[in-house]
Amino acid sequence: MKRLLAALSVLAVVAIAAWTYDINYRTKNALREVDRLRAEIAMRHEEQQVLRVEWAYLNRPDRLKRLVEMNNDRLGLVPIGPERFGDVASVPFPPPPEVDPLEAALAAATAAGAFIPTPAKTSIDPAAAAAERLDGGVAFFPVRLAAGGPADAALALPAAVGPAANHGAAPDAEPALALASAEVEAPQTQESGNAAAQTDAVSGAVVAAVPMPPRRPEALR
Amino acid sequence: MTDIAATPQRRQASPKNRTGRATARPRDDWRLMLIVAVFMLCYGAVAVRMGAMAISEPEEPRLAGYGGAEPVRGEIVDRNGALIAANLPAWSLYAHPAELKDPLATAQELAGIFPDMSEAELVRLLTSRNDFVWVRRPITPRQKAAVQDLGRPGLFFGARDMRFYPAGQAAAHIVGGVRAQSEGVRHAELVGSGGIERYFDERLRDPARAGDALRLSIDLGAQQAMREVLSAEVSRLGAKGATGIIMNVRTGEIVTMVSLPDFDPNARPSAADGKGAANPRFNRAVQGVYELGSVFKVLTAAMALELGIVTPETMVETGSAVVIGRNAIRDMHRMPETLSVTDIVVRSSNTGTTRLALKIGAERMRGFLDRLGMFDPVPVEISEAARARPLKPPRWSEISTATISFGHGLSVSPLHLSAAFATLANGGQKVVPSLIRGGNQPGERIFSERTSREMMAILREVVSRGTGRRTNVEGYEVGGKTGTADKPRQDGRGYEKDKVIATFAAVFPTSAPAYVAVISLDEPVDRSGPRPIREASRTAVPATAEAIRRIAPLLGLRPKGGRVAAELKVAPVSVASN
Repeated sequence: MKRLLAALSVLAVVAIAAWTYDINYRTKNALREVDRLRAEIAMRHEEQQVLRVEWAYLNRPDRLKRLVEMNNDRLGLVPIGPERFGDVASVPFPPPPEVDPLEAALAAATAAGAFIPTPAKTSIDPAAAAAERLDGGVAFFPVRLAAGGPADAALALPAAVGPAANHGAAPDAEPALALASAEVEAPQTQESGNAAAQTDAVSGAVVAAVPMPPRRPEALR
Repeated sequence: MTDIAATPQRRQASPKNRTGRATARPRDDWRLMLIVAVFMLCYGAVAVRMGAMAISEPEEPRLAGYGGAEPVRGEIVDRNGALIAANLPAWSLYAHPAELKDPLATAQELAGIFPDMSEAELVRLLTSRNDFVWVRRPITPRQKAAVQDLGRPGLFFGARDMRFYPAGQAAAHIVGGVRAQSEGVRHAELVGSGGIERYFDERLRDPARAGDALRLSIDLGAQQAMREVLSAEVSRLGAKGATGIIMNVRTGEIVTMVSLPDFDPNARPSAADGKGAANPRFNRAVQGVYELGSVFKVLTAAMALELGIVTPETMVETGSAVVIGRNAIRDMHRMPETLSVTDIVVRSSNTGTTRLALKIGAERMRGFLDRLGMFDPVPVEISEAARARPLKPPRWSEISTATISFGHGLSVSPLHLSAAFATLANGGQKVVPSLIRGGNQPGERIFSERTSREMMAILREVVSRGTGRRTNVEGYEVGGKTGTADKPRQDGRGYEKDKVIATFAAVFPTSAPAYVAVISLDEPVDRSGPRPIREASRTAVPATAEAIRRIAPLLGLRPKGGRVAAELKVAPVSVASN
């Protein structure tokens, strides 16, 4: 009995020793890891500080001005002047929505429970999209519809900005959209009218290609 | 062995002891007690220590091990949070030559990392008998990593901060600069040596506040716009220098303060780069005290209105010269026999202003100017301001009253003038200029609201039909007053014939004053016409107009009425016609 106890004790001592040894090393490893992480955190903080300062340096006013001058032909930016302030009241209202007979018929059919197939795919012309992005991206999003239809028109709407592309929108959504767009380009005058005219010409067609909108009006420069 | 042998003995002996312990073996007892006490003490100490360790929070003594550059100097940002002054971590490399195992190989390797240091130089450094040598400072993070990769003993890095001004020249005069002081291994202490850096040195060095940036009232965008406008005007008019200030009339917050020529604060010129105004470090807006000329007529008129001596419509004689002792004060151009107070300011009549000043009297005039802070340095938060004391006549005679009424004989900085105009514009409460966002509360009342209103109307007249016509920026209701002052000669005898300080002090919009703009050009000449023109109306005024046109929209000031709205109303018509 005593021997068993002694043997068990010895075993226990060995086990505890092993466990302590293990814990000891694990602790040391953990501490080393903590040190490493601390150093890394400090390093990242430093990096962040360097990047922050560099960002501020790259955005210093005289460098931005130089860049704007260098890219003047593409950006056409001018210093903001007093004439840039717009007025909500002077934002032009969109033309009244025109009722497309085909659309009305489809809506009536849907209401009556008819099955309307899901819209065809829209394809975005990458070249046109790239060209638009250079333009500043504010103007229009060139969506070419493979097949026309009410659902397509609705799909194209959120991307198409400007009063010219508002055909087919739910009437109550229009003023809000027009407001948002017109705030971006308040002094838009002649061109937007032309665009609207073009759209009028094609909106009745079943296969409609939303026309490429005019570039930002010359008047802005 | 002895123990085992002794045990039976002791067992036998114990019954005997039971009776005579104290007498028989007193020494044994005493020893026993001592040993018990010693053990108790030892175990007690261990127990206390264990208890203390169990109770206390586990804490790592390693935190201090990282030698980061602490404390960091606080950052400076503009009113919108854009960085104006920041710290960049940098390192310096030093060595303990005694600890180097192989100095020659180390020197060779280091020479590879620092191409601009010769190996011989490094060998000399690393084999020196000193305990400590600076090898190189500062070094870039990449160089530091390369040195670390060498794994050579005896090389150490000291962390330190470098002050960097990302905004560049835009706010050079305002931030000032720093220099290194008490350079140690761990860090070099940076001490402000000019501008905001020096004025707020304590606050910026305070480790407890290193985290929150010092936010200035400056708007970097507006500052840059002002700098561009002034640079263009300086080169157009061949001026020696220029300064432009825009100040909020309610809080005294300085939105822009530009002084040209300026400098890059990352390569700050030293004091040896020129004396006085010739040094690019010279801040004309604060340090430059000038006789600013006719702009002072505004203050004289305001005093006369405030004291109830006149109303804007009171007619004052302007047809003849005012003779004071041996001096006669005349007008530059022929004036009508009498002019109203409004017209005295609009047509800038010296004789009319002098007659007003003589009615105000020297004592009251000094009182007003003193309360406006015209005799003391401006209490603005840059270190140079305290030393820029206005120059006033040593004895205030009657002729002093007369000439100071139209801006000669008293030299103040453009910032003094801005503060005085802001005081007049904000309803008459004293404005103390400030470079810190938030500014100062309006102080004591110097002019009544009524005087303020009347003066704003007069200043508007100057722009709508007087000398300031070219600053009539539509929609902003600019009001202001020109001042063209001959510069005093260097030798102190009289004035230069063809060197002027042209100043325009503007308030906009006059119906609800928001900002004061003061632009001053040093020796401008407009040579575009048949004869050179130096008057402020053709130099400082167009500059101010351009500055207001550029900066007012940046400050979010909407123009009122006029052309803008009319132009936009066209838009709906063109759409509807389709």
